[in-house]
This record gives sequence, C-alpha cells and structure tokens, in this order.
Amino acid sequence: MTPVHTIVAKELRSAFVSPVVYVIAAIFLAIVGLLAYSAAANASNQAIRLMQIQNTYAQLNLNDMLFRPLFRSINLILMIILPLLTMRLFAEERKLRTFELLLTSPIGVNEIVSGKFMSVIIVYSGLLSLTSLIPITLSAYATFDWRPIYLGYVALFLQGALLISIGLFASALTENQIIAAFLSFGCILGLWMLGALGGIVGDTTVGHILSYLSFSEHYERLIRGLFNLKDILYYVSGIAFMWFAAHQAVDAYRWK
Amino acid sequence: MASILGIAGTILVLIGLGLPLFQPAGGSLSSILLGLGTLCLLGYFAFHFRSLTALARTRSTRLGAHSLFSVLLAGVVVALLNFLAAKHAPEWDFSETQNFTLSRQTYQVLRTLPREVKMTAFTHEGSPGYGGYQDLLTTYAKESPLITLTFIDPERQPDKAKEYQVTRIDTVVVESGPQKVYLQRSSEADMTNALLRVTQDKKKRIAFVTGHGEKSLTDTESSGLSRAGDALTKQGYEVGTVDWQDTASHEAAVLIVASSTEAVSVEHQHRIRQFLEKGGRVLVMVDPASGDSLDPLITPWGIQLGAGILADEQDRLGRGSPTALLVRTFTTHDITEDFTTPILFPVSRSVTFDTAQGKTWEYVALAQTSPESWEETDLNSPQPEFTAGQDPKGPFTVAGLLIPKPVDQSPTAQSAILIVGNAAFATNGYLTYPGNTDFFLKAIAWLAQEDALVSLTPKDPAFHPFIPNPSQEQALVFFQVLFLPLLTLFIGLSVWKRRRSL
Repeated sequence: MTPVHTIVAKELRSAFVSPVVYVIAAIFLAIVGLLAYSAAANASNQAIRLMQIQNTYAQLNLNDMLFRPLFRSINLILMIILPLLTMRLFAEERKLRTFELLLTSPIGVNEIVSGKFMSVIIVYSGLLSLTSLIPITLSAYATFDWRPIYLGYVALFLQGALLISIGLFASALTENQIIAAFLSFGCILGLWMLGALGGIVGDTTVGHILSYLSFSEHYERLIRGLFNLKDILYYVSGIAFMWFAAHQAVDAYRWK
Repeated sequence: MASILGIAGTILVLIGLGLPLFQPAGGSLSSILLGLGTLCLLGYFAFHFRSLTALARTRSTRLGAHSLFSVLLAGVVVALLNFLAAKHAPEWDFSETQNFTLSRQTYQVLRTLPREVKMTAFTHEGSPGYGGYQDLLTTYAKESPLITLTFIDPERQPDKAKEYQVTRIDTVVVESGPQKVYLQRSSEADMTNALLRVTQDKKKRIAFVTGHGEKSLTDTESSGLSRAGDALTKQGYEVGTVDWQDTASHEAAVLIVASSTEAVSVEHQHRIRQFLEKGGRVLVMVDPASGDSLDPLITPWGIQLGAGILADEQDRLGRGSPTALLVRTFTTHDITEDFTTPILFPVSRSVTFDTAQGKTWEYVALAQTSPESWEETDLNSPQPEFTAGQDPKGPFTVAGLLIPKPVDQSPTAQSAILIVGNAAFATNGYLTYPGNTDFFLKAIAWLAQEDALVSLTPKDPAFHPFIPNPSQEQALVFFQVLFLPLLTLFIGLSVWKRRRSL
C-alpha cells in the first residue's frame, strides 16, 4: 500500500464511520431528487401547454428542459455542501494535535495532500454516481440524448473537484473547522461572483478576464453540451493550482 | 508615520497597477499613482531598513518568500496555459440540437457580412425558446465581430419590448441600419436569411391587389389583413397596395389577390398576366364568399375551384365544425418542408388543376385534406354531413402551386402562382394560429425568392415532449425523491447505532 493509499483509506474510514457524511449525502440526494422531479413536472406541463397553444418548433426535449436546469441547480448545492465535506480535512488534524504526528511521519507532504484530496473526491464521486439513478429512471419513460448528460456529469465532476481543492486549501489554513468552511465558501462565492462582475464590466478585456476566471462560464458551456478544451484546462489547472497552494500551506506549518 | 507610508504606498501602487485595466485611456494618472506609491514605499523601507533586513535574514521569512514566490509562479504558469487555451483550444458540439454547429453556408454569410448587425432576443430563462436562442445566437455572435447580441426579458423590461413592438415571448429582432426582421423560432436557416435580408439596402415589395372587394390591409377587424401586413413588415418587406395607374407597380416582388368578391376587370387581369410574364409571382387566396368572381383570372391557368365547402371529420379543429380544416398533409416542397404544425383553414374550397387547360404550367398540390374529407355540396345544410353519391370524397387540395414548364430544357421566367382555396387563414382572426403564420410567411418568402438566399437542411428540432402518466409520476417520486435519500439515511443510522454499541 502506497502512502497515498494509506491516507485515503484512513480518511474514508473516518468519513464513513461518522454519520455526518450520510446526513450530508441524504440531504444532497433528497434536494437533487426533488429538483429533478420538479424539473420533470415542469417539462411535462410545458410540453402539454406548448402542444396545445404554441408552435412545436420549441426545443421540447429533456436535455434542455430538465437536465440543463438540474445541472445548474446541483452546482449551487455543491457550493454549499462541499465546503462541509472538506472543512475537517486539515483543520481537525490541527485541532486534535495529530497534524504534527502526520508531518513528522515518513509520509511526504505531497502524499498527505493528495491522499486527503483523493478521499473527498472518492466520497463526492460516490454521491454523483448515486444521482445517475435520475437519468436511468427517466430513460425508462422518456427519450433524450445521453451525450450531453455524460458531458454534464464530466462538468459536475470537474466542478466538484475544483470546489474540493479550494476547500482543501481553506482547511489547510486554519485549525477551526467552521472558519475553514466559511473561508472555502467565501472563496467559492467570490469565484462565482467574478462571472457576474465580468458581465457588469461588459465587453472589455477586464470583463473577459473576470468572466474567464469564474467557473460559471466554463460550467455553463459544458452542461450545454459544448466540449471545449479550454474549459477542461481551466478546471484541471485550477485544481492543480489550488492543490499546490494547499501543499504550500501545509508545508509552511513545518517551518512556522 | 512610517506605517502610514507603508499602507499608503501599497494602496497607491495597487491602484496604479489596476487603473489601466479599467481605464485604458488614463495612462498618465496611473504613472503618477505608481510613482507616488513607490516613493511612499521607499520612505517606509528607509524608516524600517534595519528591522526589515533583520527580518529578511530569518529562516521563516526566506521560506515564506520562497513559498509565496512558488505560488505566484504557479499562478503565472496557469494563467499562460489558460491564455493559450482560450485562443486556440478546439471544441466539439455534443448538444442534442447541434445548436453550436453552423452550416458552411452560414459561416460564409458571417464572413462576408457587409456591416454591423444587432440581434435582440426577447426571452427569459423560463421560456421554452430560451435554450435554443442562447445556443444558436451566441454561436453567431462568437463567429462574427460584427454581430452584437442582447438578451432582454420582456417582463422585466417592458419598455424595450414596447419600443421594439414585440408582443410575443421568444422573439428575436435582427436589425442593421434601417432594416429589421422579427423571428419567432431558433432556426439557423431563418436566422441566416434574416442576416442577409437586413444587410440588403433594398426592401422587397409585397403588393395587395385592390378595387374588386378584396380583404383590406387597413382593416383591423377579424376579417381584415392588418396583422398579415404587420407580419410582413416585421419580416423586412415593404407592404402596400397595387397602384393600377402606376405602370411601375410590376416592380413588386409578389402580388396578393385576397379573395376578390367582384370580378377582376379585363384590364387588371391583363396587368396581372403581364406581371407574371415578367417573372412576377402571385398569391391568390379565394374564400367561398368570392363565388366565381376570380374564375376569369384563374381558369386560363388551368385552375378550378370547387363549388362546395370542404369538410373533414378526421383533421378538424378539436370537436368543432368539420369545415374548420386542420390541414396536416403536405407535399415535399421548400414552402412546406419543415412544417410540423397543422394549418387551420376555416371554410375552404378545393383547388384542382386541369392539365389540358394549363399546358404551360407544372402543378404541385402543396396541402391536402385527409381521405376522410368530403366536399359539402348542400350549402344550405346547417350541419355539414357526408351524403354518399352526392358529395365528392377527399382528399382534396387546399393549396396548389403553379410553376412554368421548362421550354426546350432552357430555364424559363421565375414566375409562380400559389392558389389557396381559403383567404380567412391569413386574416386577423386566424393568422395568430402558429401553423397559419408559418405557412403565410413561408409562402411569401418563397414567392419573393427569399429562400433562394440560403437554403439549409433543417436540423432535427429535438422534439421529444415528456408527458408521464400517474403511475410513471409515482415511480419518479419514489426512485428520485424518496428511495436514495432514505437508503442513505438508513445506512447512516445503522453505522451510528453499531458504533454506539461497540
């Protein structure tokens, strides 16, 4: 077993023996399920209305009417739930004074940060895979294209990984879990708001840079079915950068 | 004093660095701020020289600076990578509607746009057309720097909707210079044609024939054609009536004869034929109320109109009268190629073609009633009913198109005649029915040879309505809302209970 595996196994064990993960998962799944059901009901109502009174050229399909709004809503839920999953990663270790033991162990900082990051990614991937029951159930009754949905899940995974890396960094900065959660929530909110700020600034270089820095534009493009390498690179580089920043924050603890 | 210098210096330097981003023109102010900030910081360092050099020698400062520098360097690398990707990254369209992929012809049109075009979409997020418009229009805007795109929610900005005279949600106004075209669906062909139309300086003229009891363009009653006139104006045409005194009236792209109730004079018949010989195009709409007043005009073309009224038990409007035809059978033609909505023809006559009489014409039956239709010959009957042996059985043609036969394989004049056995479908009372608007505007566009601008293969509109029955709804509620969260909670409770018992 490599050091990363050891850390991941330890983190997963501690996550799954605590009821917190289950409660978060149940709330997440209930909200997503409700949103999916209400989007389906809305799509159905709109279809009935449009077929009666409007022309049928409207894009009456579940990809546009259900999954796209659902992916947007899940993104908002992730912004609240993922800081709760990441807040304890380093903050708890520091509070329980086990962080010194970890840092003085033969395991390197790289392995520690990677292991912690991987463990939350695994929990999050499990949550995401549970939501796949929504399109699977719907496919029994409705016709839709799977390709935008696969891409939507890629977007959800990358978005989640970015938010987790931000949470990882925030958790590495403090020993207080609440502060870590608020810090990561604030960073995520700030990053989200940059998109709106870019829209306000308008069609200028600054506006474009601000919009590009925000994940909104990249996430929106992916869930609309447009696979652009720049969006993938945005997420991958953002995750790598935040991972590196978290690494530096953990490393700094050794010489402070 | 020293600390104030440090704070002021930092703030001034930051403002000096950030100012050019927001105000590219204000270069001198930025330099002044940077200069002042640097002076303040130098002052601060001078005051704290000893303590700063001592601090710089400590291990934690060196390591901290190294760490900060590493993060900044990583940030620069990430920024450079993203900058390159933003410029050159390829993309693939995985959307169901392929709304991000434009045709080769559209790219050609976008590359050769002669002037700026403004697209204003009146829609909002909850509207069914929003997604399609967002995908398609942003793709257009991305491909051409001459296109500016604005989304307006007509409920939040009613003044804008009023200014543009937009009364229906999901309307796009394409404008350039004095030209404006209104569109109500996210079709690439319509959008590209609109771009071409608004960037042309000359408007095509659609002229309504008058003087023989025709339906009037200025009549705002339900039997009038004011809405048809407005719809054509919004499509970028110049709309008016035929001035019989003006010999230049043949410059019109299309002549419309909207159900004359009096016989068209011989002179005017001659003028219409002259118009056709010069390659003109004519739309003739005939209500049963016209009687035989238009026969002298249309008989030489080989066209005959049924004496009775068409009735259809199968394709009719709801449970209404069988004479309210809901025509949904179309021949493959440019005018009707992507029709999915039926056309409502109230009280129609059948259109037939006599090949012997109309030797020089080729006939295309565009729209037909169902085989369950019949021609009601007893016009005094209060309730139309099929009488075997008396009423002819369908299907009947309601709209037919005449185009000249090619002579000696050589191309002939581009004249055409569209005959519709009904005029009411285009009146104020019925034009708002979606199929009617589409048919009327598409027919005029084809007659005005607008479709010759760009003819794109229509994309699959991705029409997959989802209407679950009650048992399916229950299954959705169970699997999506209850099953997974409860299962997760149950597992969580079991784990918690087991841990407590340890």
